[in-house]
Amino acid sequence: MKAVIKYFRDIIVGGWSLVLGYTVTLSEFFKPIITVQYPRVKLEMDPAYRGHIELVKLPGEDGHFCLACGTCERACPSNVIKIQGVKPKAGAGKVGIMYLIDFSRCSLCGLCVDVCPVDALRHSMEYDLAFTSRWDNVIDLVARFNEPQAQERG
Amino acid sequence: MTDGNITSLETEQKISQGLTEQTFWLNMGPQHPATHGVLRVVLHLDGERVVEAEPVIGYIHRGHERMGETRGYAQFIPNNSRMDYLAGLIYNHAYCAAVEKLAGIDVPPRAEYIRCITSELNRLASHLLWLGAYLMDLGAFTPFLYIWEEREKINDILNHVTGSRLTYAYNRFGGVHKDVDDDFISWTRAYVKRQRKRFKMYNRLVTGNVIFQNRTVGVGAITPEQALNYGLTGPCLRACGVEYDIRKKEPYAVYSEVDFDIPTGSNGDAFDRYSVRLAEMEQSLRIIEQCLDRLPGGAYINDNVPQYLAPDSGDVFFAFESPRGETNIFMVSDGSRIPYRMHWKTPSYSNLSILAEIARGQFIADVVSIMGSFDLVIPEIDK
Repeated sequence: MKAVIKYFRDIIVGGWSLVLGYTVTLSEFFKPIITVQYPRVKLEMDPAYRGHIELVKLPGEDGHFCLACGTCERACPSNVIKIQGVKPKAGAGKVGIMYLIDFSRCSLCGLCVDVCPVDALRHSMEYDLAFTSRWDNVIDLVARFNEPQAQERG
Repeated sequence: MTDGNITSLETEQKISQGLTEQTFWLNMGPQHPATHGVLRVVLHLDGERVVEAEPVIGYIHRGHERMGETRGYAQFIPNNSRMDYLAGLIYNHAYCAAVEKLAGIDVPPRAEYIRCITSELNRLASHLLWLGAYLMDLGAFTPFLYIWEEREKINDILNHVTGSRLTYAYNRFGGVHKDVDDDFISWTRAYVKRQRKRFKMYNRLVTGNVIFQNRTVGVGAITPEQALNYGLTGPCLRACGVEYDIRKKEPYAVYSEVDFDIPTGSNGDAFDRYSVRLAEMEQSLRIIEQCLDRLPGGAYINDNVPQYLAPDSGDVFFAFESPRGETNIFMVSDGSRIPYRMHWKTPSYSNLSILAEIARGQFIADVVSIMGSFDLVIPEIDK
């Protein structure tokens, strides 16, 4: 007799727990959609987002501020950065003419941005970075800076 | 023809007799969805019953300790989040705290509170991910999607302050690298409010569910003695009824100033581990609220920390509570810019070691349930 009671009790208690669960899933039907149809709709990145590094482009300023001092090169944990600088004329300070990063090895830690003595670096907003070749990951930031579509952010 | 039939019958009988005496072994992993990473468990099976379960690790060993011994102190910061990818901020916080202890660096109070808030948010995110993934291991897909909605909220909050969603590298020696703003505070408060409501939903959807109960109650029960013998820590140990939390026993950061409880279970089974984690999330919400209320002003980073840190020779031991249990860091400095020795003791390694004992005699499906309830993170086992 006890077994019979337990049998029916299990059915009722278990069945009720399923009904409770289904009320939750049913109520979710009437809530707004939170997913985004990604390739067609793109999310706007938060201003704090850390993409790969880029040279700071300020409105009203022509050039970048990189002095090719190599501090970021030494701070980088994965040897991502390679810089070349020249002195435009005798007695003048160095100016970076080539700033290569190997993005495939970058861990986006931001140590280079922290150590830069002249704040010439910042994180970009790019996030769709998939490439077909390993060499596509090597980006020259100076060339990127000189492109017309380079973003000016304050 | 008849002869042939008779012989084959005899052979069949022989084979079937042989099979009853024979156990076979089955590889669960390294590419198995329920192991959540490259963990291989060799199961010796007698039918559906497990005779012996033997974990094989080392598939994702990257040598983080050795990496730490070949580069500067600051350059190891990005590695922290790669050890335990679900608790990047907590590991980050602990590593920076250990180096600060070694080098005697002061941390401004605001930074300590920010670290505490972000660490607890990270702990919540880790537990939520575990909850969703564990329920999916047990065959429930819907809760996974609902639970990850909250995790997404945490990721958005943390993205706003750290600039990253999983591998944060947010803490620096002497503070954090970016200050929190009013948006962060208001979003976090809204999140805490929302999460409290969602717990009721989880209980309705999951806790009382008859299938979930059958899959977890009494499965993989561990006694407190067993747990202590195997060195279990974290929610797995607390589920056995042992009240042990580094945040309470050896408080670091500002955990001594906030008020929270250590939730414990009684049976030590998979269901208790589930309830302990759920209760722990509520405690994390309490800690976050208190820290937000007390968040002091002032500097968020100590500016006097040199770029290339060279602590005096000596060693440091630092213990902290990660979402999976007690994690220890031991570092030796010989006075140079590179640590002489770095050692990490991670909790999943000890938690996994008990699997061989408690999986004995269980069904294969229960092994999945037990392993899931441990909340194993494989990169953290292998480092």
